[in-house]
Amino acid sequence: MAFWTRVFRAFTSLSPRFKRDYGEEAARDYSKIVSVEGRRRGRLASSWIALLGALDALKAAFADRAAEAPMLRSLGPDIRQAFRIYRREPLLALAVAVTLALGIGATTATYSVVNDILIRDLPVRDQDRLVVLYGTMPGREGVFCSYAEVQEYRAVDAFEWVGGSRSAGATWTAADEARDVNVQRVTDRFLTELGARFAAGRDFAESEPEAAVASPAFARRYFGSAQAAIGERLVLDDGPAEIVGVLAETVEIPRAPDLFRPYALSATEVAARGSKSLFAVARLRPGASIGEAGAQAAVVQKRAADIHGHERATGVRVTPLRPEIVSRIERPLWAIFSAVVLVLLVALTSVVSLLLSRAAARAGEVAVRVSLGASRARLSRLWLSEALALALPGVAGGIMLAYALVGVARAALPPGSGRLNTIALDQNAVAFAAAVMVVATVLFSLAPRVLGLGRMRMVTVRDAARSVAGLRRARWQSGLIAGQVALSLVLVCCAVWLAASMSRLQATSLGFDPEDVMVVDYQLTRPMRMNRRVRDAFADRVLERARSLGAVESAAVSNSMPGTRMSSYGMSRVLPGAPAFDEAEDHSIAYFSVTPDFFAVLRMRAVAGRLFDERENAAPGHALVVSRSFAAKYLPQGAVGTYVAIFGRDDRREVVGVVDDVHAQALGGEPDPQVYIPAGATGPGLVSALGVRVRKGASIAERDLEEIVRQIDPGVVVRAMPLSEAIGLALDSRRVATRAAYAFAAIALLLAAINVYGLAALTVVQRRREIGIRMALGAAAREAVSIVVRRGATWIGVGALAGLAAAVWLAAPAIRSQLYQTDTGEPLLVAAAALIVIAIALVALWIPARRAASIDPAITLRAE
Amino acid sequence: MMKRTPPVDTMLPLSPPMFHILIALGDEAMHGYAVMQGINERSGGQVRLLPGTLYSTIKKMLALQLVEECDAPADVDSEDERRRYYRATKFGREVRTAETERLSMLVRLAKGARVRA
Repeated sequence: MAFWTRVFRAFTSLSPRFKRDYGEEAARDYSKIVSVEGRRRGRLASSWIALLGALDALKAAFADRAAEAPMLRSLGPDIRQAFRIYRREPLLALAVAVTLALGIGATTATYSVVNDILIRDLPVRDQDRLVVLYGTMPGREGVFCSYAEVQEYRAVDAFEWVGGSRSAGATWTAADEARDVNVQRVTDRFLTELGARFAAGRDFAESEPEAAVASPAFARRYFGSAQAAIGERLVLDDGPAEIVGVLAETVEIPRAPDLFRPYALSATEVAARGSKSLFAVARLRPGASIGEAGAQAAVVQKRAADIHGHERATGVRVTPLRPEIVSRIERPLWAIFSAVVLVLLVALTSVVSLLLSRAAARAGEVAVRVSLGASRARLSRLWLSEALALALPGVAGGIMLAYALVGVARAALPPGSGRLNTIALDQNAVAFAAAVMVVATVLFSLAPRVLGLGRMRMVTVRDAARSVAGLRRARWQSGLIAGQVALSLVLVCCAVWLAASMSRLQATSLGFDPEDVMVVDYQLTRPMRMNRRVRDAFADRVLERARSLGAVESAAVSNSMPGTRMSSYGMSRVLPGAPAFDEAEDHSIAYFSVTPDFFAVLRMRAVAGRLFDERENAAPGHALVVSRSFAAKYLPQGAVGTYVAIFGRDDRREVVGVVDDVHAQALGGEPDPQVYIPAGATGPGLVSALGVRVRKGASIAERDLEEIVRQIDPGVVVRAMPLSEAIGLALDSRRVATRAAYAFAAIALLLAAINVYGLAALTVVQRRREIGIRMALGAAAREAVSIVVRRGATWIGVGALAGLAAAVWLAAPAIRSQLYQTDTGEPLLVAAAALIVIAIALVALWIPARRAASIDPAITLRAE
Repeated sequence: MMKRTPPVDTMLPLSPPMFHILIALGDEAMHGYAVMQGINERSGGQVRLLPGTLYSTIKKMLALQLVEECDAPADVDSEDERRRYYRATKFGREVRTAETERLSMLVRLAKGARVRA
């Protein structure tokens, strides 16, 4: 009840005079009434009386305030009157409320997401002094650091503290099943130095190898609360862990893990300089600059290179931390926010347009009020109340919609946006919605003024109706049409570009046939991964069991399945020795370590030479199959029969065949050149995926495939799904973006059409007399229509040109990175967008214009 | 100096909250909470005046000289000593009587009309 008492006091504060005279006494009586009600009739009854009492206080404070201000005195009755009017015009009120709710809801929700991910500070101390240290090499930026380097950078004067974190996966063998957990291995007191807050427990020191700190989501999900997680012991494949602390907020540096653990290394690993796996973070001393720190760090690195000999990293780059964390999602989010703001603008101008038409139709009523002595101030108050009565339901609906949309946003954003769990509709977002409401109310109340209503004294109501046509013609009307058409065209262009991109993406040849293929991705425990014989034996048993299933036509294992997001593929360097090799370029390739049936499972065929066969089963040797792009780039004189060195200067392999390129990563990028090596051969490649082609007409449940792996070792995390579904997952975030663009464009187009319709209808009202006279003088109905259409079409054209310019110069650069094989300058796409918008706008113009043709000149003249 | 009170009939019809407050006060001095309780009990829970309406109405009634502030009665306990007490003025009692007569006349008219129907 303390909450309600605070609300009561806040409401009484709206009138300082009331608060001063009776506030304390009223608050005391209120608390007593609520608590007595609670004792007598229970909690629900006391909550109800608390709510009523608070609203009663609001009304009393408002009435007291209104007693001082004449404007406020009439506001209450005017708003009630306005609600009564809108009850008689339910369609208008509904149209406005829905339009506002859509615009405000979408904008508030997006603002909330943008605020939480991009604007709000990271949950760390002194965010502005935190920097990231990257090594640089020819052709490569953003190289992580080794543990030894992190130790060395601590000697840099400009740094107050340096630490590092490394991503690691682990398998947690819980009571019911084995689970994947994301782990960040961090240096001593990493979280404390960052200033992360703890909901329970404490941070760990590097000397506590079994300690762990859990994220709030992990603690909540598996143990119910932060407090309950403290002391829980977890059996992880890389060593047991005991939870000693739970964070208060998700810390994403650079990823948001389930667990933080100490960076426990052996002496050998500590000294090793070649393993660059640490994301190094430092805090600048107060007053130190990034440039200064970078220069000092470069000196330290050069000194280390001189001592230790050849270093792979040849430079160091110091950069602020925050952009590194948010950059992945920054551009798409701002793009979405901009689109949503455009929709809101279109929504507001649509409503103003509707109100303009309505205001013109009420010119007679206004004339009567003026004749009865209503001042301009009184009319302004009337219009303000009507605007408020319209805006309030829209804003209330918008806030409710925003709550729902924030939930959708959590599901739609890419995983790894670690602050997802904290996104909620907060007071800033609600304040934003309230601010929009204020703007909306002011705009709406200006609508009648735009037409000049209330300015003139009218002798008769008929004078009023006539003089609407003679009133100062609102220049805004045409500007509104042009503006809305322009805004809509920008959104429709974006939707058309995204649609073309999506369509081309989906039509992209994968290079293999995913139909009837199931994939099983499994994660071996760390001890198993470390032992090659163990993991090869595991793979053999998985393959043997899969082949024994009657529904399986062919089966193969590999380190990943092409086209799936769940693949993890390795990158290697093409070392000097391979033809057509340019040192300055980046030569990342994708490689697949596969059993011979791999190509049969995916129905890939050799475009030159042969695929792996029984020869590779018997003796894996050093055969190699390459993709077309690899062959074209590195072996232009002919691939088959050539020897290349890929995994080491002495690791020569013979190219035996060439296949089509496959998409080895999430769809949407140009595939890297690819190579295939036999699974049993020496070389990189941790086999962890099974692919099976199911016989035509047969089916296998995912559970049955997962059982194959679990029966061999229940401690292994495993997941099975159809390959086509896995590929579809890779397209998910693009699909969401495309559908969002469709929705924004459709809403903007609808609103623009309503606006054009409204303003055309207004024109018919305004020029009814003129049209009637012309038709009485012999003009054809066609001419009546053209009076309305000509004016509107001109402004639609102006708007379309402005929209095209805005789309090409402003929107195109922002959206380009999201497009696949689509050029924003393609004339056909831009023309299609323009045609859609212009056609819809012209239809919306033509419908009321037709009414002009049905004006009876006799009636019009009789009215004169 | 007290303002002259206007004629009683200019105060009619009295707003329902004012009427209930005057009824509850009777000839006694009461604080706000007691007035709210009194109204609630007399009406069998049908009428409930909440603090916002009560105090804003009392404020208006003070300005109209229908009620006045007064000292706490001698026999109150320490908690109630801190509260402000109100009682109906002579003018307020006159207005209360006039409103009661007006409402009674309306009830008589309504009952008479029913008999004829």
